[in-house]
Amino acid sequence: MYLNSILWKKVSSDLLIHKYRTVLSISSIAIGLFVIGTLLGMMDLQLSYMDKAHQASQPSHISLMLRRDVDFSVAETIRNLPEVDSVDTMTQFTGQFKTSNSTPWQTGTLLFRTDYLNQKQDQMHLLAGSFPHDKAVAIERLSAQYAHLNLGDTLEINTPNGTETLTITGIIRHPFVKPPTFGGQIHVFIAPELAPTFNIPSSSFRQLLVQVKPPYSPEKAHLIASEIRQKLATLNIPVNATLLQNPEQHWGRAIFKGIHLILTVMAWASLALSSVLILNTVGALITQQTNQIGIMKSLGARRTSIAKIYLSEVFVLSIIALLIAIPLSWVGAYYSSQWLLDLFNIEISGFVYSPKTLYIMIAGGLIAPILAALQPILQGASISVRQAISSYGLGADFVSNRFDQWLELKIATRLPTIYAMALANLFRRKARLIGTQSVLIIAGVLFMVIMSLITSLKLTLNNELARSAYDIRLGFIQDQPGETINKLVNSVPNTQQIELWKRLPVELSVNAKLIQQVGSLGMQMIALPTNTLMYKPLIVEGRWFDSSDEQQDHLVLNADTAELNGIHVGDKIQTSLLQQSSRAWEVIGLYRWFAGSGYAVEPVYGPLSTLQLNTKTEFKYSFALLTAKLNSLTEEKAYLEALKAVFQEYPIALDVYTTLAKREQRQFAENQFKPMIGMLLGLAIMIAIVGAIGLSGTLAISVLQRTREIAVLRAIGAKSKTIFRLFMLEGLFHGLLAWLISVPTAYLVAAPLAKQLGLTMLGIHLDFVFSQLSVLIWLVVVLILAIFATYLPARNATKIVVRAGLEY
Amino acid sequence: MQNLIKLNHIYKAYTLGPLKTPVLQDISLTINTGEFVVITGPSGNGKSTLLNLLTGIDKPCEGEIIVNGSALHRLKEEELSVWRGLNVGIVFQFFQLLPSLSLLQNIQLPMDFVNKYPRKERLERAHYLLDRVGLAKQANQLPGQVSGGQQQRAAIARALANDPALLVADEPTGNLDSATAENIYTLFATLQQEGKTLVIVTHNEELAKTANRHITLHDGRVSSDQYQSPLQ
Repeated sequence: MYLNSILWKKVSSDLLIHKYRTVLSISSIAIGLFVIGTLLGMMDLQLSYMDKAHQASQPSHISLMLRRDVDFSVAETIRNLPEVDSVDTMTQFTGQFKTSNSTPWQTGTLLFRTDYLNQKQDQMHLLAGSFPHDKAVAIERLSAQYAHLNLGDTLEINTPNGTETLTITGIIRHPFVKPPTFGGQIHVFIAPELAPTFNIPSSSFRQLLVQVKPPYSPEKAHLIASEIRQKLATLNIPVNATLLQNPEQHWGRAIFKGIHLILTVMAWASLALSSVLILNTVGALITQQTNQIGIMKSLGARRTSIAKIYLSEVFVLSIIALLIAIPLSWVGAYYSSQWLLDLFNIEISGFVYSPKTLYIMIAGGLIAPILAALQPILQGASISVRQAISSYGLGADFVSNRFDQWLELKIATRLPTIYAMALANLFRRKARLIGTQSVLIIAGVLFMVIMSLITSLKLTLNNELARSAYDIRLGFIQDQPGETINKLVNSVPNTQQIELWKRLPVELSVNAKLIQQVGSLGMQMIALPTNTLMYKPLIVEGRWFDSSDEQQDHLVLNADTAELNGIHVGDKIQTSLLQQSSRAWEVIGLYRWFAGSGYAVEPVYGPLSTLQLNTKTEFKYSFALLTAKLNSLTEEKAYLEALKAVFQEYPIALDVYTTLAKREQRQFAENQFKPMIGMLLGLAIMIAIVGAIGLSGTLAISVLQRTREIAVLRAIGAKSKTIFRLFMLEGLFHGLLAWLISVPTAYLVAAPLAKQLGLTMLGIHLDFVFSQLSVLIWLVVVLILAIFATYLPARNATKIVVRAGLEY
Repeated sequence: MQNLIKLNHIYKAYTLGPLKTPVLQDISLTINTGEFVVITGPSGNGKSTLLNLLTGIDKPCEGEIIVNGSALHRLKEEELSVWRGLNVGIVFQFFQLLPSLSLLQNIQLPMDFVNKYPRKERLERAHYLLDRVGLAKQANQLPGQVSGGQQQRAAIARALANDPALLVADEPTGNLDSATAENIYTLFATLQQEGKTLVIVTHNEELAKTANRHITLHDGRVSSDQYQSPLQ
């Protein structure tokens, strides 16, 4: 864009003379760019590092969690299956330990691999020290951070043969651990030679890792997993869960797919909103400089020359905004992705940024403001000399329409004159009002939707927990006789009721084709008493079990899975349970599954009596559901620890993944949702700040444009505080109007939006409730923002001197 | 008659870069209560500056200005705003009515600023003033909905809102046709008969004839100051 030095001088002096307006314009573009850079950069860094870390761990394609210790020879058998490329093994089990920082016994996961130096799949990388050997153990990276454990610290571990004191000599990264704040266990790696101390043969395994022969495809992995399960069934080896994963893409991608889509939309929306403010600012600049445009035109300037001057001003503003936003967004993206990656146990070494995002920022940062400014600039540049240099006092810029007349007659006449003037001024420049309001309204709606999402999430969690009458669920690694469970559970004080359930891997098929499932960790049948008092899921179609289902081949299926496969209540589906031939079971009901992100084993409910009828051997149970006299999270923790101790003592190994306490589980669930909700709230606040900057800009421009009017007011006796009050009122009316519009808008859109956000981001069907509190909070926030945004322009208005103002 | 305005050796200059341009030089004047004074003279000879000094909109570089007992040259900007509201009504060339307020509210506004009249009386007084200038029917209209002459009459009504002792006007008929301008002269004459002091800057010879005192400025000095019999 060529401009000669005099015109550049005009550009620079325009920007320097009105510093406040320049700062506001730069801030609004910079905030939009910062949001884009931070969010897109964070997503890019996050996904690329997740995938890199995933690929580096040589991920298994199929991971089967077995219900008992299995000899290595079984792994060899599986390796010999035609489509299996390689196998690897590991064992994870529950143990109790004490650290030097804690006195009570804690439950954690102990893990060993046969040969740490020769891991083929799901490799666990040594980050510091050495791999476990003899009585030297290693601690998982996240566990070390959470429990404040370091190399050289000791752990006391409870074994069936007494307590062992072990020294931490290594820190290892496990690719598939849940962070302890989300309910993940402390993981301790032990040497295989230490396994017999826990009555586990060192030449055995509980988790089988499989890679299929290339080329990999999810369908192929699914098919081979089914073959392996059948093979294991023939060897009388039950499988608790099967995990399938893409070797190229990190398993966590699925969790972020929805939220990334929403964040991308919001990032671009924030740039669009900040561009609206550019439209306002440039529009005002043109209006303010109409006289100058007229003079330049009378001196021979053409439309293009005029347009170039103002486009150059926008270009300079954009460049400065980019220079501010780029480094800030690099920092924002780096730290936010580091924080998110840490949740997936992935470290970033050294400062990194996303080059792709940088290009997007540069393109967006230069194009969006210019596009926004184009219309007012072209319109301004097209004005005739006569129009531009004429001036007719205060009313020249005010064309009243029917709305203004209605406002004046019906509302303003009932108000004191200052209020009437502030209200009328609010509606004076409607295009600018719409621009400013749209940003504030969107921020308000977003805020109320997010608050409703949080409230709905809490309600959903409460409702789900209300459907579960139990306080504690104990899951056993191997199924146990009911008599033993009852005896052990009843030996712990405060126990009230107990109910026993059984789980079995299940494969469902329709027309000889395995059905698609929502849960990414496979399906299992949960067999429970038909008159269960402990749990009743939310039934969306059909019914839950009653006594008429005793010993019947009836099941209750996940509604999403049913929808995915076109299954309805009353349909019969082929059900294949362990060691049993496939039979047709009738779907009597569909339940709403509450599982964040679907990264879980999907339950299919069936009557316990049907399984008992078909079991030839002694019937054993997988879960014990207990109610107890508990009043707090602390009491619940103590009770669960007591139960764990009793079972450990017996010894019966509890399954860390399926043993849970209700109150604690709720806390973990809330912790899991916090990062995403935090991110959304952060975005709403960013948009609100953009709105406040816009409001401040609008009022600053109003002060400039109404300089003569302010001078007239002062000439007829208005004091400084009156002028100050007038502009403060206008700012507050802006806030109030935005609030008045955003409340019904939010009320209308909150339910579908929050439900969609819940489904896309959190993977759950929300029980919706509109957050009434958010309406009040937003009123306070928007009024505070309005006060902050208005203060400076209002103060500047009081500084206008009458003579200078009248000459303006 | 009582002195309402007293100017003593007023000197006013504007500084533009290194140049100091004198606008008013050694002006000494006394204007009594009830006088109708017109100030004329070629453009750029200090008429509007003199008016600005009388209303406290501008300050002299040297000299004293006493209006209705207040030494304006000593008052601060904020004090001047309060003083103006109580003591002077200003009529501008371009009317300068607040475009977003009705004529009625434009007249109420100075009363709300000054609080001279109890709140309850202000509306009634605004209606009375509009009635006086013949705009009772247009009370609730916005300035943009009425003619230029009507706007100027509303501006005069606004200037009278707080019943000031002094009414000043800068080219009040500069934007009006002759018939409308005549209406305005009549209104000024009536106000004088009611005891108001009027100081008006104008180029309009007809308007100048309706006043009882005619001051002419030339090169920033009073070149003539004559009492005359006003034309009725």
